[in-house]
Amino acid sequence: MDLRKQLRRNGDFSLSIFYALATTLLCAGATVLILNPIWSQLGLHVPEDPKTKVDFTMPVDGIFYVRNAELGYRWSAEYPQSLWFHPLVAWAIGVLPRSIAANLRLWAISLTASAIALVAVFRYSGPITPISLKPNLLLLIPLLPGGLVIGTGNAEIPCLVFNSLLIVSVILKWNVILPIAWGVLAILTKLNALYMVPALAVYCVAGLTKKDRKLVRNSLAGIISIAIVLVSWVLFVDLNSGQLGTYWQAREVGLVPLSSGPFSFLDTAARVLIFSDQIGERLKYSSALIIPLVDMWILLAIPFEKEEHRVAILASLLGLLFLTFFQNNPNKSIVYITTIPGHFALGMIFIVHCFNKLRQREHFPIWLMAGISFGVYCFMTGVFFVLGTPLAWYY
Amino acid sequence: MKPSSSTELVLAILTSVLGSVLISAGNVILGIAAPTLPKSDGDLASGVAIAFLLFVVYILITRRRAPQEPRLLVVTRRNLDRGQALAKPNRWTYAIVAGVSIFIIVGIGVYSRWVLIERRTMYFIVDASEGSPTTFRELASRIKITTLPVPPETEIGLEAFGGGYSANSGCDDVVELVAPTPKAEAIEKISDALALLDQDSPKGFSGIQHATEYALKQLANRRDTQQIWILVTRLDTRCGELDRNEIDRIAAENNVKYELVIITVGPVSEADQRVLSAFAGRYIYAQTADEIPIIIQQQSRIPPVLYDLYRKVYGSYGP
Repeated sequence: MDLRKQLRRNGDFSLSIFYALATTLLCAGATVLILNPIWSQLGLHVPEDPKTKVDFTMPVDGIFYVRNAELGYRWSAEYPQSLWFHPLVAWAIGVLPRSIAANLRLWAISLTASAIALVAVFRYSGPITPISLKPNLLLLIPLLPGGLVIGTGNAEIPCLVFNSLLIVSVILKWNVILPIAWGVLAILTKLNALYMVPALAVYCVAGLTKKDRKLVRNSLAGIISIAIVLVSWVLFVDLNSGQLGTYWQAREVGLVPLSSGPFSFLDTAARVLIFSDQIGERLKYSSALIIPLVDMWILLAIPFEKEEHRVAILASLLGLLFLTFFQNNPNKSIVYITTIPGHFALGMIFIVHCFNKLRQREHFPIWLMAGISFGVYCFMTGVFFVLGTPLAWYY
Repeated sequence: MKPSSSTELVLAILTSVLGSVLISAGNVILGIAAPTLPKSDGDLASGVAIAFLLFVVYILITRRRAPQEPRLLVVTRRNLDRGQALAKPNRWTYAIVAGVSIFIIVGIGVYSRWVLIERRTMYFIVDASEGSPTTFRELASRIKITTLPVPPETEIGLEAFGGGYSANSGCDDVVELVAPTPKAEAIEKISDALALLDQDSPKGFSGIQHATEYALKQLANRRDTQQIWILVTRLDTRCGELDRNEIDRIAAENNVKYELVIITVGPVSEADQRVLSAFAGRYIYAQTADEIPIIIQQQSRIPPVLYDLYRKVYGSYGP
């Protein structure tokens, strides 16, 4: 490798660690000082249990990871809120010193994962686009849709860590052990690791087309590791519960029967948008459609080094949309999309590309409009996240 | 076809998406402004939208591209070092994104229009007159609001005629027991109203014409279709002949868009059935009161506009 490139890359990498840490700390500080008072005021509580209050260290589903860590899994389909959640984060909470409160342990894990995730996302963004990205762009990630989740206790950002490392290990053709390891860890963190399977499939096809054995090997390794570990975990749950099918039975609680038809999501969304007087419901259904769509439109507007990078991100977004339609469930799209490495990468690249276009005065009115629209869109999704978390708008 | 830059292709996509947004918005506005328009017109608008957008997708897929030449979108050190062409977006990627965008935007537009059409008020008018083989309480209690397959926002009202509940007598004995109220509240209000009524022996005439005219005045200026359900056990000619044209005139006067559904319960002569069928938008004959809940449920699933279309195609009401 060219020494100049190597040195520049090392410099960028060191700076990216610095900015990742800075972003995480700034986000954590903003969460404690700004979000926490707002959420306390608005009564942030356990989902479907308004009487049990929680704080920023375990909002939304965080409490269920903490419960699994403290009380262990309840191996029965009657306790879907235990079985829905994969074990790695709960195990990590259990491994840390018990002298620290479990919710704080979750928060510490999330913050650590945030710093690593930001570095991983930056490492992923660099090779996929010809645009030069500076590490200080990481400071903008909390402003992107779902970015504020960085400062809270959650399992999405740990999943993002492993998803990002998985995709980086594929495109940079690292040792095959690494995509296997990241795939295993990703699926043990959250089921959202499945969003990586379409992306890896794209790289596999690209590798076959170009006769790139390493690309094929690493992408297949990632897919197979995710599949095997998922099946293993499902069987593990079923064995512990003493009944085959327990895992999927617990999952069915969150599904609408497919017999409703694959278009019933759009029908339900239309009914909610027209009939519902609850703004939260309307925003939930709107965001489940708008956020992936906007990402797809941004995808077309920015340059990529190779088309397979674009198609891989598109495949992940289509996977997200497909699951939303299949499950007929718009819940938590704004946080689930953060588990796709391409989501934050697209945001960063689009911001730089937009500024470049404006500087060059190329199609100035269009890019000005695009930039302003994107800014407004990020602001609105930020407000949606801040208010929607305590008011249960998106779950 | 002249090859174009990636920006032009992005513009083409944005145009197609904007086009689909505008046409879907038009579809929704059409549904609000003219909800009784037959579904075929809405389908035509959607069909034109889809055809136009598929045409754009076809253009994107088939247009020729210039040979790859080094073009630098952004002058960066890395690009200068490499000096090679950057990857242009693949036409299939554009087509997939366009297809998904069209599917979602047009789908929401089409379903929104359908959902708007379904919005209605259900106003029940129940016969409490003398000589009725089935009592008012037996009829009213079989309106199972909890199982109605309508959205919870649907407003439900209840009126009774001929039961001696109003200050009037004879054909003018009509009273609104429950004003149109959202479904959840209506359940309680109707239950309370029935509990308060002291109905042991019905009295008064079965004045369907006057009861309907009274209902239209109560429903004046309300938005969406007012679905008037009349549960009656016989046709009482003491209050005169049924006059649908007069009903239409009063509806127009009171700015009410309505649909009349008449359910007769018990033995009714064929001649009376014909008269009622001609008077009503929908006429259903129930042999016993036990059939009422199923009939109401089944008929509720058919939104008013579909029945409008059915009537326009197969024959209109009127003597």
